[in-house]
Amino acid sequence: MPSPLEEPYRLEYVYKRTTGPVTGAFLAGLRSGVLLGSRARDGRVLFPASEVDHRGGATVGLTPVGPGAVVVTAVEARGGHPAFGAAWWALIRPDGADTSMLHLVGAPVRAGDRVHPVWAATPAGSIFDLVWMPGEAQASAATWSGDVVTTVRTPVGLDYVARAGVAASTFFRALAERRVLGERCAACGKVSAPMRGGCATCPDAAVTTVELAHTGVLTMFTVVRFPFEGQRLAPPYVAGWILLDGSDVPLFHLVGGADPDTIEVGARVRAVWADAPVASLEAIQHFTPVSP
Amino acid sequence: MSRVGIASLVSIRGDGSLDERELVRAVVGRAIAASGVTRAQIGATVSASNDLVVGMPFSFVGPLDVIGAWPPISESHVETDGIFALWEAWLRLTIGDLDAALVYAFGRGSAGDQGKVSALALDPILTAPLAPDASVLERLQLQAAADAGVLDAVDVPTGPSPPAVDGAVAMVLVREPLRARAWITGFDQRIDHASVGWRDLVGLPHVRAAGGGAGMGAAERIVLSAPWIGQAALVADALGAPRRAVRLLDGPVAPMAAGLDAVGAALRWIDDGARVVGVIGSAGPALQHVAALTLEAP
Repeated sequence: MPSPLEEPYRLEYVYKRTTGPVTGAFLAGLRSGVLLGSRARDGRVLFPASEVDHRGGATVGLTPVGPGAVVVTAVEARGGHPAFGAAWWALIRPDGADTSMLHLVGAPVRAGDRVHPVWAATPAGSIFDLVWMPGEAQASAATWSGDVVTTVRTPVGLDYVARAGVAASTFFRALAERRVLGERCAACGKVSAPMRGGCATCPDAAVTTVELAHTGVLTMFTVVRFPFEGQRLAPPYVAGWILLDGSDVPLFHLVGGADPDTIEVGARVRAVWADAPVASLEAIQHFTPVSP
Repeated sequence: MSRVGIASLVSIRGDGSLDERELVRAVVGRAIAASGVTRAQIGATVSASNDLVVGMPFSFVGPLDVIGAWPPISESHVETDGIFALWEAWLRLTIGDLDAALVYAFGRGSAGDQGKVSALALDPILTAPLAPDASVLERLQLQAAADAGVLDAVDVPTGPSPPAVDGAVAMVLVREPLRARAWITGFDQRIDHASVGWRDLVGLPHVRAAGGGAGMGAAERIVLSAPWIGQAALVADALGAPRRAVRLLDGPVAPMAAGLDAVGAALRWIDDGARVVGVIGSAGPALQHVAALTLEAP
């Protein structure tokens, strides 16, 4: 069996998050060089500040804590940290607080060590506004004015390798040879494409591979009229479900060269192949109406 | 109330060449064939997977082909470890309106850096941006235990987390009078706070509560789906069990399928003559969300 088709890709997005009044105050505190906790109803002080007491109910107000703090426990950041360099991951509990938060210390530390915050030169109202260093804190004149950071931008990026699987790899490789493969179910006799290694309605039935025509019928469609990134046709264009001749299940593709205002369900279409062979659905550039 | 049990369980590992649908297809038919019930008797299906593990939106949809989802069936999905899909199916069967249910879970650990994926389950504003991978939180948990004198310093891992692989597990749950390989005598789940600094990482009170709720005190042996032996010791302490009674699930595991693989390990103990065994499945960083399952030989 040939190896599956694979391709690396990166999933990346910048989330814009609403912080709410309490976490927003905590972040504004960081921007001002102040550590804020929340008072619980029973007198405990929760850090970092939170709307919710994990033992139940809402918290009842904000209170400054620290800036001196103790390391609850710590481990080395292997290979360093992308933002802070050589660092130790630590659970850090500021003086006056009953709970700790996960953050980074820029030098070796262990449980019980005293640490203090070192503030960023240009604070942004984010968790990156400080790093911790061993030693006692100096007296601080910083105050929090009561302002709130209402949103933060948090980028997320993950690297993947997409592997297409046995049936899909066979289907895509055939497309690179300008062949459209489907599967016929031994139980219900229906033919479907793309290949998926089985029948979607007869789970225990065998399937055989069949070759399909490059022509078919438009069974449903929508008209795309707005531009977006990665678009392959210039709007307005038709995107829809195409039932290839000899198949019982439509597949989704684009329809180019059609007048969006006059095209109708039932229109005959044919595949327009891309100039360069490619083992993906993009081997078919789009479908286009066949003149009656 | 009639008892609910596990009739069959089938697990596979993939080498990267099978997609989600093919992984699930490789286990579901065999699990049903081994269960003694027909597809027509299965009244509900509950599945588990995670889009960020696979790196694809709606990754649970493709595998629905494998269960014959037309005409429409009763089907639901959880975006977490399969042990919680099993919990939902068990709950449904205890209501008594179904005779059998199918549970499956799949993950493609080879698709991406799973340590980074788990970091995204953390507080998105204050913790996830710092990008601590799963092993950071596990090491902090075990270092805290060593600091407290509960574990030895050698129990704190120094190497990376075990690599994640591709895999799928399917199982059939049945209600009496259908025949089971093991009966479920208790099942409970508890979740701890999302802020790692607010948790009792060493005492694990939520594990104690779940084990108590599942009646796990009678278990001769307990299998834990977690990567580090030190975590097994902490779980044993929380459950009030001897440390030698709690074993880690062996070998490389597929994300989201690990909890059901732990159930498979417990079933093998029953097959080999054990009377009562326990399973602790987990999700989230450093055992944040746990399920405790107690099984009894038929």
